[in-house]
Amino acid sequence: MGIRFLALLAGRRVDGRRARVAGWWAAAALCLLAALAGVGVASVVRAEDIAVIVNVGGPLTSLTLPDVRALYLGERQFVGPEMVVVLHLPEGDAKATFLSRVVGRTLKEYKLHWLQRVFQEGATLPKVVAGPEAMLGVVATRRNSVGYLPASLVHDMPEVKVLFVVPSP
Amino acid sequence: MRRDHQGGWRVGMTGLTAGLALVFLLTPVYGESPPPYDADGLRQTIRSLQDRIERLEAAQSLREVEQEHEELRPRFGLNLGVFGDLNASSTPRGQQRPAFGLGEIGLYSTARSGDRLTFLFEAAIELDEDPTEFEVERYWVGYTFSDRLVVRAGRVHTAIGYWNRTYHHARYFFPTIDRPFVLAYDWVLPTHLVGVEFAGTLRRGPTSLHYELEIGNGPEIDTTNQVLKVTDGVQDRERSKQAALRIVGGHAALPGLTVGLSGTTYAFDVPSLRESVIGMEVARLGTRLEWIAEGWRLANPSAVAWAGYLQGAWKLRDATMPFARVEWLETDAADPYLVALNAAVDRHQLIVGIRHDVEPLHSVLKAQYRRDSRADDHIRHIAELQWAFGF
Repeated sequence: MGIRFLALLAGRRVDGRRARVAGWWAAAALCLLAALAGVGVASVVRAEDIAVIVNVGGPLTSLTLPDVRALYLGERQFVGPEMVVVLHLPEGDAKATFLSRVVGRTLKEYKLHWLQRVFQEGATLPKVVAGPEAMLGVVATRRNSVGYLPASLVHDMPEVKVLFVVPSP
Repeated sequence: MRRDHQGGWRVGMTGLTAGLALVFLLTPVYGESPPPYDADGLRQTIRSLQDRIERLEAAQSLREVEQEHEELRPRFGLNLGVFGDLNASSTPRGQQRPAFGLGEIGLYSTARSGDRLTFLFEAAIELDEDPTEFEVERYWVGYTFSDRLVVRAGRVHTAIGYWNRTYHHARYFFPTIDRPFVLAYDWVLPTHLVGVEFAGTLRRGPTSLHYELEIGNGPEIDTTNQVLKVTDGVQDRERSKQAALRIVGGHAALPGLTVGLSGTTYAFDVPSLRESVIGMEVARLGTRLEWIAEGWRLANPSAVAWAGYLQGAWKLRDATMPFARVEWLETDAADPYLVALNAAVDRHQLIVGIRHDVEPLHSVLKAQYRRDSRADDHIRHIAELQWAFGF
């Protein structure tokens, strides 16, 4: 029955051996289509690219990736005379991707780094915002802030500049 | 749809009808009349929204008042932390039989006012001493002018190399169970300094240069206990002050690699001598492999001694890390500085062990074998365990 139905889909006449062959061809084509669709779905649900954002009117518009890494590790606090406000998203895929691709640490390594930094020199922990919308809002209003969020969530906001986009692993 | 006798495709009436029916079924429904206009309902919605805005505005103004009061509240102790360690060992030097030990309890707190004023306090209750000692280990207030200049005043760890500046009294952070013996507190190298510190990082393109310059009370030798003592109060009995400088360079192309030089000089009235220490350090902290090498030359007008260590560690998995370290102290038996500290004897040590995270960020277990060889005594083979934690 299934073979007959697939043969119908393939536009073949339903008779004997030819129908079976046509059915298998149709089945193969359907499998290929499903596989392609699966790849499409996989590409949609994989970890997203991450956009690093700053305030367009602030002093951070020319930061490079090593600069951002140094800021998020607390090795650097200033750009020019201004102290930089470093912002994090809550724990999740976007934060893990950012830490891995930009800072070069896992979440656990990053936490340990800051635990040690606070103990060594009384460093202040980076701030955590409520989510991507809050991240955009804070960066749009604070000229000395740097943040990140999934690239697909970056709106057209005149106050926010995308420094660079880090592709997902 | 079917194929005609000429090989083309022909759509039958039934198929056409079915297609039209499908299109009809899938088409959204248009032309429905809009719901009746409800003026009262809309007025009510607007009123409730206005009420909500007023409530939110009131809450916001209250929050601003709370923030003003927050400025006046004391900050010390807001992030009070504790580190501790419990130990067990076979018979190391100076111990008669295998024993358990309570180690140290380290209490610390940091505070900050605004972006630039910082404070740190760290005290240790040394339960492994008899009698138990309470000692302020670090205590400073600092002001950050920029990345290039941070000024701190108080009691700090002396800028004599990577280990002494990176690791303090929390053994939780140590890869091994204890510090290298040459860096044991109050012994061969002066690990603490009371005075003022200038530190900062200079950057030029991908290159960075970090410096630490310290000036403070020089240490004195406690001849009874044969240890170095740092003068915490203004009654510094030693006339000369201690100066220390450490410079460490790094490059963005080699993340995790730092190379540095350090030096310090201090003088004593009893015995009368000036000691100068020059150190070199290389550290490479990679994702999996990390190693540290440090060496010092300790010199006074009568003698020169050499000390150092080389340590490597490999992160097997996320939580497990085997490590190994070799340490050495090569001395002149007549060195007046080391004689006064009961250290004028060659000593070598080999450590092999493993560190495992029990609870990430809070608790580690360490086990190590230590081969302690000292020229004036037989070789000791010591097994040690440690449970270090932080809360």
